[in-house]
Amino acid sequence: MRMTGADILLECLLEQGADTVFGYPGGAVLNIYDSLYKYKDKIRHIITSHEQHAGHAADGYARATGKTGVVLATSGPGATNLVTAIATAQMDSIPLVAVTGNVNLDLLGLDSFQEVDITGITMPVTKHNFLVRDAGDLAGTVREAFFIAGDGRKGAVLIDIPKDVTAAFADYEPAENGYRAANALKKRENPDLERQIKEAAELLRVCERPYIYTGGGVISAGAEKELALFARIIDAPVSSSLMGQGCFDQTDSRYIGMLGMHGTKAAAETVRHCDLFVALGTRFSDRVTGDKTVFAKGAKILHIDIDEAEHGKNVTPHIEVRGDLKEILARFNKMLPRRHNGDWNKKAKRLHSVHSAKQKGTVEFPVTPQAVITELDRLTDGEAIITTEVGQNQMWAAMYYRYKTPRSFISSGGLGTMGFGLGAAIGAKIGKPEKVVVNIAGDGSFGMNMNELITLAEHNIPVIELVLNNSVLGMVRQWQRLFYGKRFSETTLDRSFDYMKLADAFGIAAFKIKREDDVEPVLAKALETAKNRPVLIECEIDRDLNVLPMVPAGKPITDPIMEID
Amino acid sequence: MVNRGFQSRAANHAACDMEKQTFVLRTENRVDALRRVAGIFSRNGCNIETVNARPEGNASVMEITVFLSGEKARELKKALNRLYDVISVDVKAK
Ligand SMILES: Cc1ncc(C[n+]2csc(CCOP(=O)(O)OP(=O)(O)O)c2C)c(N)n1
Ligand SMILES: [Mg+2]
Repeated sequence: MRMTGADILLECLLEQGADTVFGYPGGAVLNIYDSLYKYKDKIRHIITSHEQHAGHAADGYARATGKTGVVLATSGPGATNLVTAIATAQMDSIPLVAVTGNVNLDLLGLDSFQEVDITGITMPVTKHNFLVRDAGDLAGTVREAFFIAGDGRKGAVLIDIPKDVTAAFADYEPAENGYRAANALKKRENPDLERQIKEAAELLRVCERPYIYTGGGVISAGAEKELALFARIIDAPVSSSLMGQGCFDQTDSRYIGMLGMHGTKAAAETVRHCDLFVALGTRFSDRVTGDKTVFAKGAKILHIDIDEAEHGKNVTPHIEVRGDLKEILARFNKMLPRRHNGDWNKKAKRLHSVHSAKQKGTVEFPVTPQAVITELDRLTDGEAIITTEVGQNQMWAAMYYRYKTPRSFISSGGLGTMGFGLGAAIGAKIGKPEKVVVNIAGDGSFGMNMNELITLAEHNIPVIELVLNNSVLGMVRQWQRLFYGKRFSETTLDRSFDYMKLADAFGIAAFKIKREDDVEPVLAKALETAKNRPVLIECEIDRDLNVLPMVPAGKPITDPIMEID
Repeated sequence: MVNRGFQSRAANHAACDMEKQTFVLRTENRVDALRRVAGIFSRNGCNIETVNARPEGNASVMEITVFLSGEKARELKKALNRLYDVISVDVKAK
């Protein structure tokens, strides 16, 4: 079949099951948008206010559904606006395909109008990227891009297409089989797998105090069922990283909270006392290990991950197993005997029950994030998808909502991108319309993406935007309080604009939480309203609340600050 | 030739075990392959002493020499191998 490059692109998206695209038009993608006009019934396009948030929406869509997200932007500024979103997805190993237009082939390299070398710019923040110079290569490239994004350790892939390539005609044949890159698959083969599994199984058999630490890799591998059984078989306490939230049911008695800078005391103490630290699908981020030289010193470390470059990168394991977590855990579940570590588990559980102090409000701002998020958890029965911005709001969202299933907590872990949450919520809601979707935001982050309230209104996307308004860049302020002598340089936001009027201007329902008595009724009303329209909630909180516990960067994980005067 | 890589760190660690390492890579013969490979070295603060790249069949063979500790070289090997275009990586210490 002879078709234009633009039509080939869309046919190939459909081949991949990508029926939803987030994006923003412009000169270099006019041909693609012209084709989208024709494919309206088959491909849904959601236009945002800004390309960055289209990128986050595609990312949120991917995190919520497990499918590969697709974002489309024009050349030059459209493409550079995508960079933060691409880096955000890549850092969290989220499958994303970003398509950008570029200037005509003969204008490349000449500093032409709206030309940027976007493949060069995004090289360090993508898993791979392509510049397509021939319409005849387009179909193969799109298939390859989807393969790369979703294969092994997932990630972001960019395809840059000059405008004349989208206009040129080429032959297109629908593909029968999914593309498989022989080289990539070969590199993933692990000749040592059997030996590694045997050695790991031996460790698991002889240990006395095992501890399971789970990361985002469990979610991308879809290994939650295998994990649940594995935890029962080896009878170990479980904790999750920020990225791993929800891969293990947090209402399960084995769960002892998050591990890391703002993890629970119980999770950290258990690291100290365990004799086998089982790390699943995780990269030992510096936000988790703290001082690496003393991390899990008393334990053997077993690290299971699909990416060989993660073994020994941050923490050197005693035994590493490289491969697909779902398969490996299933193997362990078959070969290991069931065991009982009664006292050890009791100890971990006891630690978990004593640790966390209740947040206290003030006379002027009596409402606490803990009270709001706990109530939200109760009213939604822990079944909502929670997206977050970055800062204290993000940590509170991770700490106080109890995630029961994978893909219910969506947050920028690796890059820590303020402005991520609202776009991500849009994508999550489009991908999972049956779910309640709440973006837990901070007022600073809200300033970075409030333009996307327009998107909520325009497409009537019934997301709840819950702003925890402390009038400060709370997390930075917390560091200034602790480490910079309370010199609150540029973190006090005296922006007394009216959230209610702002929402009203966009045509969005708005509610305010100010008193403790507001919490339950306002949340209930917002949830009711959000059955068919978007909602903004402003919740006023005190500016001096801290996220606790906190392990200062680079300090031993076992020694968190529990209180700050 | 004077080694310019890791200058400041080398000064701090007089006994640093840096040695000459030659990375031999086979990559897909694509326009960007060398740039991607070079990016891994520069990101790790590692100065390339010499580089030689030539086509061989459908592939490209690159020989890159740098001064690195053995441990860092093992780490970089994995990071290089992770690149989609890279087919294989070998490290030869001198
Ligand atoms: C794009 C971006 N810029 C700056 C930062 C640094 N930063 C991290 S947390 C934070 C404060 C966030 O403020 P707010 O959204 O009000 O959240 P709070 O901590 O008050 O809950 C800042 C500025 C960042 N993470 N991302
Ligand atoms: Mg704030």
